[in-house]
Amino acid sequence: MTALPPPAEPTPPGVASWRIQIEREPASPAFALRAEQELLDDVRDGKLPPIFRIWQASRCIVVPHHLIDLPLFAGATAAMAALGWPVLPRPSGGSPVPLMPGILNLSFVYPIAANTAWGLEVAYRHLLDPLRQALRDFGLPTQIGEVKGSLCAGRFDLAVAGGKIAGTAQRRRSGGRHGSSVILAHATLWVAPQIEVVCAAIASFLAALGRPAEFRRDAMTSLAAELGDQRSPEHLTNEFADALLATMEARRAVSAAGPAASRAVPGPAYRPPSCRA
Amino acid sequence: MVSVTIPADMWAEDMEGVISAWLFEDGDKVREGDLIAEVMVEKTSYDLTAPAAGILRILVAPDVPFRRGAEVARIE
Repeated sequence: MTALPPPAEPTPPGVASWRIQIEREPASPAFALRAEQELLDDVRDGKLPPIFRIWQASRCIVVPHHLIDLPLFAGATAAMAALGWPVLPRPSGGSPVPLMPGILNLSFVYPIAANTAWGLEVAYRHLLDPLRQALRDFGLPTQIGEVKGSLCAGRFDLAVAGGKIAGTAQRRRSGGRHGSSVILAHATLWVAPQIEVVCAAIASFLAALGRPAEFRRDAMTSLAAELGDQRSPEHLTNEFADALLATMEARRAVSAAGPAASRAVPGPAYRPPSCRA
Repeated sequence: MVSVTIPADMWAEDMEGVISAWLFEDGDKVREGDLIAEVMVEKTSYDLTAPAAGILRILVAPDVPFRRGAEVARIE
């Protein structure tokens, strides 16, 4: 049987293709976040084309900038660093979230011309589109919507069977040529993190800040948990990254060939070994 | 005096945003184009830049909700 791929979400206006960049080895958090900022600047200034980036970072907690001003921030940061969880600020929305091997990050970075209608919701759906396709290829249907009680809950959470598996955020910067702006749309997918360990670390950090931990462990899930998978976190993370790449390549092929090709693309973009006949 | 307003097209949807952080203090001197605040809506961070040079007068505190078009500061 030849299955047609589901229709993709709209592509950002003016973006003809993506430079696909994959970084399989976890980078230091400072390096990874600096690279993200540099990509944002370079795409905004026209030095780089639109980019789709898959990356991982070593263990840390990233926080929105506004938390830095809290009186307990320095002490909380020092306490978490002593526990092996360095804390780094990041200029995007949300609340404290972990990065670590087993958590896969996806970033789309692209310019938007002035006076172009490309709202928050359509940008979030575009971001989640390849993730949803890749998860479908692993046999996991997903839903978009806030997962109450999850870590850093938002209206564009991605859930599997009611558990949050990916979170999202955006950063939009102005100052590009001819009044354009640049968008960083970012998702973190929990492939195979130790969920209890991660939740405990975030709860400890919030407690040190004097803030309540408004999330529950049972609102979170991961790809490994959903698959009941015994493969190593590294193996599964690489396999899912491959699935994402295949999804993006399939989208690119359809886009390059024009609308008629979308009716001729065979089957899912990627079939993990565990699902192959 | 120049108003610092949230552009009507900053986000398309009919949602409320907040100032997550002012990057200058009330009464600070700013230059035209300076990044003066981060605006947050639906876990999305936007830049807010100074439309003119002068002394910043903050009208809206962090985490107070507003809609597009709201005046959040003035530059004298």
